Amino acid sequence: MVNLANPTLLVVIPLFFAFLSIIISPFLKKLIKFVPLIVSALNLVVIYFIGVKVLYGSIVLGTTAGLNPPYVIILAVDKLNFIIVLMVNVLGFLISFYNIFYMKEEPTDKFHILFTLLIMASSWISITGDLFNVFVAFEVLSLSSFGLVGYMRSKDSIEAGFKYVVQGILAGSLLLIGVVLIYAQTGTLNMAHIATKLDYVGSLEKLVPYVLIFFGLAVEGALFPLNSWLPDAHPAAPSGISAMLSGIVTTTAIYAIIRVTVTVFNYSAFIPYLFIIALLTLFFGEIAAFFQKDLKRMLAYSTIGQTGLFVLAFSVGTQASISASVAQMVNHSFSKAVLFLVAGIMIEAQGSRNIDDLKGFGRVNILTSILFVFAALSLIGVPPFFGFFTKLAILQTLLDFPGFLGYLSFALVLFAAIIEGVYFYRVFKILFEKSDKNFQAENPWLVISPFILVLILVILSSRPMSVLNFTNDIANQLIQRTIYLTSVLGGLK
Amino acid sequence: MNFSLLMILLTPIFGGLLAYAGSALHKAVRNIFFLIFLILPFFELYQYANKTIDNFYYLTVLGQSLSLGINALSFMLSLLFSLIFLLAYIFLLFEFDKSEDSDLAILEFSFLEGAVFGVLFARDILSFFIFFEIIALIIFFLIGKGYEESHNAQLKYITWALIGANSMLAAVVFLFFKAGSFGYAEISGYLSTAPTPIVLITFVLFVIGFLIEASIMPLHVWAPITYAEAPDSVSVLLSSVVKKVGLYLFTIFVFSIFGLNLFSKIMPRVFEAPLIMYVLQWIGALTIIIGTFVAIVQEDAKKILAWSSIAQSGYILLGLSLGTPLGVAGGLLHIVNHSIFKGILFFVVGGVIYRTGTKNLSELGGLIKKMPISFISMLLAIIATAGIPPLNGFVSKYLIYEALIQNKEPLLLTIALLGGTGSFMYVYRLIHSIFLGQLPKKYEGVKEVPILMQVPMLVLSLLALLFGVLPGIPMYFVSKAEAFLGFDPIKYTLTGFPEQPGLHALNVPIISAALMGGFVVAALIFYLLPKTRSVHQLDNYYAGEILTEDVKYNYSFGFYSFFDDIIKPFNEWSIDRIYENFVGFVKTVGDYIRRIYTGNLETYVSLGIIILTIFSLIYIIGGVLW
Repeated sequence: MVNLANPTLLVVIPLFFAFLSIIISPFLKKLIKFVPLIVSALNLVVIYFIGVKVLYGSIVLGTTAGLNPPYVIILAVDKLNFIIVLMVNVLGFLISFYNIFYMKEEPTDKFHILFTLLIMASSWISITGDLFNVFVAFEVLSLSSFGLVGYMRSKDSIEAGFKYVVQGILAGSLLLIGVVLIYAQTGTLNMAHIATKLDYVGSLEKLVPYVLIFFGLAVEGALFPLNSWLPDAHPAAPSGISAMLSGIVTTTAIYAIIRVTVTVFNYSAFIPYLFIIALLTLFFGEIAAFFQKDLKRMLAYSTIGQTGLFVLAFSVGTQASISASVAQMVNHSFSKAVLFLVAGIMIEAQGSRNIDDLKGFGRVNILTSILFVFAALSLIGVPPFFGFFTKLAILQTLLDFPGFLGYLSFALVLFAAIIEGVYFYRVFKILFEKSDKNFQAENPWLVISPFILVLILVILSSRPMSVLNFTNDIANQLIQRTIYLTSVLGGLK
Repeated sequence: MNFSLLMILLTPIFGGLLAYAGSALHKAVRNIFFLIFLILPFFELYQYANKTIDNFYYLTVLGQSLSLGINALSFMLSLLFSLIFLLAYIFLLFEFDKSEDSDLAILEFSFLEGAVFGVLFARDILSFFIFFEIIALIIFFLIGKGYEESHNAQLKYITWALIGANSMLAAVVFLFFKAGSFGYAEISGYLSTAPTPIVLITFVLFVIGFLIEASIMPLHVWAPITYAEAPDSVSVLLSSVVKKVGLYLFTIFVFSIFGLNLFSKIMPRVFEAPLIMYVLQWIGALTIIIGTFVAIVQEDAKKILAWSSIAQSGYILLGLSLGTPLGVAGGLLHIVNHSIFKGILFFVVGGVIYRTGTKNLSELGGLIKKMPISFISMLLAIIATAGIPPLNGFVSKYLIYEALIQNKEPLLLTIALLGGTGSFMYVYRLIHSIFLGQLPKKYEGVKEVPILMQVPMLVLSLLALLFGVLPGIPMYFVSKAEAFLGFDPIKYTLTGFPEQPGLHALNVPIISAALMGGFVVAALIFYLLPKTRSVHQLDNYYAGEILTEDVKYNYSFGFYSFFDDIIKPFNEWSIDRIYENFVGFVKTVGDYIRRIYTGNLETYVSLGIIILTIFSLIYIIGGVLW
């Protein structure tokens, strides 16, 4: 009997299918579009078996070459990894289902192969226990998303793709230099091993690689001022990809920042800087989103703002704050994915991305619009939706931050919530406005994925506290680093 | 049978969902389903008539149990609101009879009622906030089903509602952070020993949220356009229910959670009230005077009602913030009375719009013979609005005036009395322009509104008359509510008030009889002494021109132009304009800020380098940021 609870499978399965589809694509072009769906479904099965173990508190390890850590690449899944990789694959599954019907212009085989790689890379980042792996996975992730952003080959998608490439490569090199510096000082790449050895490294020697790695990850994580690829890339990409970039890529990058900051470096000195960066991200993101006339661009800026929000929560640095941050991450991933998918349907129906052209859309396609409304309400945190409880937890945790800055951020988050509320409510208003315009009816196949996602959000809303309790467990496990370190380095006594 | 509070709260929501499903079958099925579920709350509420329940737990958030409860005040209001919801629903069926939105409107309507019950039953600061937000959300969607400008109104409403909500949320989270609990009782206990700045800041944050919903100046900017452009049944709900929810919360927070003792401990007393209450009295007074004067010069029937509604909530705020048994009784009674008579006015105007299709006063006129029942309802309502016996508005205003006299505040009393005169001016304008004067030719085929649509007006008119002649009936509930809030309830009889400190004896039936006697004498003089000649409406002239069937003489445009001339200079510095300038300023600044995302790679790179440099400098110089 094969041991299905093996994290290695989460990387191997997508990789195998990606290569397989390159080989078979000349013969079976039509079938390639089901590959990402199959891949993420298989991954979900594996995640189920892993999850059973993880939820009992153990950390599931996967090694590659039959040796013991730290001498091999290691994949480790604790609760935080579990929730991130679960989100990646749930969203991957639903979005690839959406893509099957969204990408109509044949041939689409390259698109779906790249998408498989994107799922693979995101899953990889979310479970790896090796710092160099983070770099490699990010390169794979960036390369596949460059291709996907530029896939439409229109003028703005090529421009967006180019900007993304420049910043992505820059980020990759920063990350690489950081990893190299760490390797030079500790002689190891295993995260847990580095963490034990970093105790003997001086503060500045620790700071420089940390800052480099941080900025490398911050580009994909859309933190100010390195997020400028995002407002161009999201609108230009096909909607499924925007949903994936916003819901998954950003989230995994922030996950990597959390992992590196807490588990590897255990770094609290940088936290005030992170706090300020997050505040700026939140503030500029929401302000910019308010002035957008392009629906997808508005959502893209809102992603920036939301990223700022959960990084802000994380950077308070207490257990409650990490818990709130992860909960908000879940909320944002699901609701923003819905918003982008629905925006794709809307754009397809009206042929333009301008918000004002949507006037009266909700009177024709009521289901799509209700999905949009529900997801947006959860995103801006209107009770009784799930987002409200995460926002409450975040606000409460911000007051823990010492000094004046805690109150300032508290006020700023509320201010941002007003702005965010106004621009989303403005879209609601336009959706349900009376107009004589004729829209195409929604394609029922496209609605299925966002519908399921909204269903998930509604279920989360009905039991907000069980989610917050779970994220609290996550934060607890994350803060007690020694558990992670000892179970990863179990063989290294 | 025993109904839990949660069940009462869910009854309308359940009914709404059932009705929405029933609409697939037939409209009648839907209507009747929902009607049953709107009547049910009365029976369910009955068992709570004399009970105070404080802790019915229904949800656990952040380790705290959220609870529902009911007391005399929320019992009185939930009874009143159930009635208004029921009547507004009947009206809504006719208003939306030709619209495609009716099913959705009914669904939203049901959620609104559930949320209103939720706020009334909430016994902790989180539950009330949750339900309050749901109210704002649903009102946003309901407004959008109204007149042409309703979409602008939607945006204005939600902006203010969000400001209020986030201001309250700040206070909620802050108090939870400090007190460690959400419950009203625990919060109250914490506040009694809290430092003064915390008390003041959280109080102001809460009050901003409540007063926005109660459309008190200077937070009223959303109200005129929203009331005027919302569907008529929704305007009724806005004015008679949602506004009162804000004032209910104000009452609960001021007297029950913060408490007057706390305020008098931490601040000086002015005119026998703590300073902050005195400030609130003046805010109420300004709301009365400005609201009334602006209402007088409006040309749109629903705008008049909107401004009148703003002015009347000024009375309520003034009464409540006096903080004496008399003033609070007046304020609470006015909450009930205003809900009733403003409901009638919105129903009648809505009926007129339903039949004629316009709310522009200068196009209306002479409908008295066409719509007699509407006319009589409105007549009663305007008597109540102007505060003339024997209608209900008189009693509550009387109490507020007496309370002002008791507190020895001549200035505020003058303003309140002036507001009373002013309200007579605008309500007279309303009834004159709609029902009196000459009938335009195009409305000659207009009929009275359908019988079912008359029900809401007639029921409320009867209530207004009943509560006016026999003020003991509402006072029964009000005095209990007052006892709950911790005051000595004022003494009352079925027909008025006995002589007691600060309040002169009042017997409404006798006063009414005297007034009626005066009318009879006047009528006798009018009909008996000099012989008047009754002429046809067209037997008249205007500026030398003879009137014809086609061109009728209807002086309802610029009715109070002389008055308009007096207050025109003050219009220059209207609050709306200040806000508009402010919004323009903020937008300009925001527009500059967002240009940080130029779309140009070089800018981004240099931005990154700048930030990195700043951080490195801070690190090198300071080591840490602070």
